[in-house]
Amino acid sequence: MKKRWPVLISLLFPLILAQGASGALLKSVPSRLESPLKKIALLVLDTGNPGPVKVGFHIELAAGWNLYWVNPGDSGLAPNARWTLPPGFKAGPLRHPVPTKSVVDGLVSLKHSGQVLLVCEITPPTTGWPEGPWQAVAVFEWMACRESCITGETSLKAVFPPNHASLSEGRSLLEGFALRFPRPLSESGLASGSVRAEWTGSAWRLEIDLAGPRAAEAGDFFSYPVEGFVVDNSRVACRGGKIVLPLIPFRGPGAPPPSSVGGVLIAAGAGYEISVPVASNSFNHRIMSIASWR
Amino acid sequence: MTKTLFLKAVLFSLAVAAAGILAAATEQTAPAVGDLAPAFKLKCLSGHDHALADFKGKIVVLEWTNPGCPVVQRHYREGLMPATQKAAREKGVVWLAVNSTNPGHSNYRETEELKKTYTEWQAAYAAQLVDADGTTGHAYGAKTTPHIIIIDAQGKIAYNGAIDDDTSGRKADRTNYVLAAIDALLAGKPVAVSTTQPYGCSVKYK
Repeated sequence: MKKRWPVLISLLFPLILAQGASGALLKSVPSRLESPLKKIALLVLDTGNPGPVKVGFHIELAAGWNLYWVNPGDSGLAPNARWTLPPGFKAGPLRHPVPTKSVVDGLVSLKHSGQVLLVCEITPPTTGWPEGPWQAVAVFEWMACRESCITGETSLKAVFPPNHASLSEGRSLLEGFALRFPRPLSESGLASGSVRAEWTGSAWRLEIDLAGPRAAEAGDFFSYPVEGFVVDNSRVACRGGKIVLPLIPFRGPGAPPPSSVGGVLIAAGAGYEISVPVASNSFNHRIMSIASWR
Repeated sequence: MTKTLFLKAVLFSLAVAAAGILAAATEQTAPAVGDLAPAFKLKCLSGHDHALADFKGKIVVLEWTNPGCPVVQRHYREGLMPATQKAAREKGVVWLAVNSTNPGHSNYRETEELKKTYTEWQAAYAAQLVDADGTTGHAYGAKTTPHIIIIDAQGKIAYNGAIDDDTSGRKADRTNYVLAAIDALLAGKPVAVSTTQPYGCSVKYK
């Protein structure tokens, strides 16, 4: 009986270590010995006073595991944070780094692996910042997959005002990750183009033309989720200065195309965030609609 | 030398063409809402054959499942899936679970274990069909577990997507897309929401 303890301790040690390092409470990881999340912490990245503060979930995934992007692709679930904040405070959406794309069995996954930073802005009420210390408490809900998938949630908190050391750590982390987040389109060298929406019988096929000297360098496009539509991920294409985005409407053939779409354009190894309005004034659902964008 | 190069170029071109044809064929196999549902004949966990043709004139629900997927587990353990299956059955709908998990995957479970698990979960489907080579899953373009496809009484696909709009399991006013679609079909009305984004684990194809 005694001989079993070293084995048990050696099996549990990585979990205990991960737990201690993160200071996080892994609440509902199923009874498996390996956690996909080697480390997770909620850090203050920028105090922002008087504007919104930036906080970030810093995650280190175990080898082979991945979390999902805001549009996970054909399967998976994007992570989510449930916040408990002082009255009047609001948390924005999670901002993701540029994901990687994989295609297995024809199914597209948009995901993160290794070290990940998910950033969230917390906006104070119009009455301003509270007197004295306060805290932001989050329950981070996640789905991680390797060969199989695990879902879980992790409770974390960030204390304000942060001490100098932790703020310095957060700022340097944000700096280190800066290049992994999508940049504004204006930095891409791409110029205005046009958008055309054509009904194909079962989906809207949006064609977004890219212009400018670097248009041909655009090599992929990762669409944000489009409300009321299924993004047909396996048929999304970006080549020859054109993005093709097929969208299947929830409400069938009579549904108009979305008023706008957005996503991350990949060009020369970097990601650029684009938001594209789709005109509705000249809309003819059997033919096409055209809009220009910048 | 030139001959060898020419031969290589021809073989390469043929391979590219074949890949293109295969890709086109794969794309064509996933039917859209309104298309005829692909025929299938699969064995259930009890070893009986079940063909789509057996259910001509009935509404059929196909539910892709994998008991190793945490989203499937949640839907069964929290009772949403069994309750939806039971409600559909009471309306005369045929509900078939389809398991396309390949035998080499760690989520693959033998027949007796599947029977035990789904009995514990109080599953109320008519049968669980074994699609270990994934042929039927690919034919329908099944992406996730769970993923629901509803076939109307005319044999056409009437709904393709998620069971509901509650990816986190915390929504107070969730919409059950499957029951809404079944009710519309039974009332002879168009299915208002006929496509949604299925969510869950990827189907563990071969």
